[in-house]
Amino acid sequence: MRAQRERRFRAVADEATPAIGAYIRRRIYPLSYSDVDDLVEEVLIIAWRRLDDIPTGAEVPWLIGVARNVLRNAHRKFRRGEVVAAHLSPPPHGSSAEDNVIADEGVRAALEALSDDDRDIILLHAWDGRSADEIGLILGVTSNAAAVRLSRAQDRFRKNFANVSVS
Amino acid sequence: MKSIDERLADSNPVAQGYVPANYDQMVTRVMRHSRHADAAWKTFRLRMAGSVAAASALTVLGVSALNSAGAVLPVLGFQASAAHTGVSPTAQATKAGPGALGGFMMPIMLNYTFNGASSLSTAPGSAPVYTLSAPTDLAATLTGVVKALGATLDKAPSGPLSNPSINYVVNGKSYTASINASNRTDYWNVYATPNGPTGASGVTGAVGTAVPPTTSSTSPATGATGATGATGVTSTGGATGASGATGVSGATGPVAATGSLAAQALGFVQTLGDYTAGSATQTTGSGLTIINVPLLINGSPSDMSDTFTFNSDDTLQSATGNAFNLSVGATYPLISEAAGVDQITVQEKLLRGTYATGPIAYNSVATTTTSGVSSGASGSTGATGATGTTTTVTPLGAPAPTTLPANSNASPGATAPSGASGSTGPTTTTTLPAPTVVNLTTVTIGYSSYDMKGNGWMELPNYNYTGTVAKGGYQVSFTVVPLPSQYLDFATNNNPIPLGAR
Repeated sequence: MRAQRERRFRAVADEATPAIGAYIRRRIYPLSYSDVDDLVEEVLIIAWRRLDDIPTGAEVPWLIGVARNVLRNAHRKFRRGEVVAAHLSPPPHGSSAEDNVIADEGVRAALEALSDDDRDIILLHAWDGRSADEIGLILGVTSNAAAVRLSRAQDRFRKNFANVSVS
Repeated sequence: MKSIDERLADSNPVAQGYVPANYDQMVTRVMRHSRHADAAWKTFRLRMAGSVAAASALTVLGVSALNSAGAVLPVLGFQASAAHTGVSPTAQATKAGPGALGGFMMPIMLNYTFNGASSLSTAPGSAPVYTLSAPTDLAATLTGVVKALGATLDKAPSGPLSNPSINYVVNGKSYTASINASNRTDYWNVYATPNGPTGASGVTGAVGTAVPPTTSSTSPATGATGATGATGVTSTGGATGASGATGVSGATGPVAATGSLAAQALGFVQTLGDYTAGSATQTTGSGLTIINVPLLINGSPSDMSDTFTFNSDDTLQSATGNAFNLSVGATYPLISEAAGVDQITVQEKLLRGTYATGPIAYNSVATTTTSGVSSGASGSTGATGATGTTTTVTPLGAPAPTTLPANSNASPGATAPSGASGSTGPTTTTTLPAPTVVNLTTVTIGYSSYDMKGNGWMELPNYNYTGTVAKGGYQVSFTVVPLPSQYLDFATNNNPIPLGAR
């Protein structure tokens, strides 16, 4: 029984880890790259504990949803530390994790002008390669709702981009 | 010159997957952990439960032979973990009530009572089921969509595309088109290229090539279900209203769409495929007119629609919709609308069984709500029961708690042996909501897609009940699959997400 469980976990981990690792690595800022492996391991621990709950056929989006939550928790912890540090150092700038790594100024500006939710869904699609169905699972909405949100977020991104280009 | 989407993709700082260097050791280390739940999972689980209760719970089934005597129709079984995309059999607040938390669909409480069933039809009916599939040749599908809209592309999309997660983008003179694949339907999106030098002419071309207005909504098939269609339009209008909230300032509507833009939109739908368009609605604001065209199945509203946005000069700004294939299957008998009311709770319980076992319990968030959209945590109660502890279930507003054996789904006799140890064990107090009385107002028939076990997606008939919560006045809706129970099999829907289980 345990061997069977371990086999499934290895299969799930082998399939999902590259996507989970990339997801976290893309959004690790302002944490350090050295934190990525720890967060991946945290996600895998949850996967191990909840292996029976992971839906067959949707392992990757499911675990990206877990990774999203793990990363948020890590960011929250970091910010709590920042509050303490703020008494000793200048306040951090407000750019997002994505903004920090995007070299294309137009894309960066267009993304920055989006709401967090819009940016989240766009990057899940464009960077993480998630379909509308998978985004629905990750965000906790229906597939149709995810598709609509994605489409609208893309519209807003394009409009932002056009405005940036014009200005 | 690269398109916006290409530049966005190029900006990906981690283009390839990332695997930690010590991955093997990590996996080995992970498998040494015990299997206790953790806080991060709990938070995620509760949030995810909303969608899955409303979505995955509603997935349907595979087809297996029905062995009962005389039956020839296959039993339809719910897929264990796939998502349902349309109106769900779970209750949803259609208007923000006190239970609508943060815009997420939350698992519903089962503690409903319904008034008004006696005034509903007691006549049984019948309706076909359909298999639903998405075109696999994305390039050809996208080309067809663009052509139907009268737009032209600089280069033809090429395929095949095997990865459904790839966003396929083609730059055109006037439009950019993309298509996202899924197992159920391909979502396409065509939009005018911002500031494109030839965009104006291209847009004009799109309008000019629209087929003559097709008033499919007045066709005999649609007309036969006109009353249903009307309600369906109202429902679809809600979705359009949401688009108004996305940036169309001062938007009005949705209202019934009339005039040339509605005709164009309906014409587009007719050209896009062998689809039957319902009565369109429109929302206007910020110089834009958004026409939403519901797609009908068997003359009834489905969970799919196409949306067209027009500029103030009536040129097409963008369009988004579904590409899919429908194949008619067997015609099943339907229970009556009145009998379907009883199925609301029955199917809720069956579907809820996907996520939890044991008595329905609610966390502290749920106790603050009065609608059917709060989260439940029955799993936690079940877990408590397993250890022989005692659970107290307290309906809101009840004068005194009623102490029940833990895991009240078990028989008292089964609980008794653990009673002794339970008496010394910890006590979990869980508050149940008071029964929520719903005055049913309307019922319509429609279709929603469900994931069939091993057989892809199906569009199944639904009864969509709308009612008003007696205490609160807000509107809620419920959906059931009104096939007789012998044709429905929820048994494979086993607990992928235990709410509150630790």
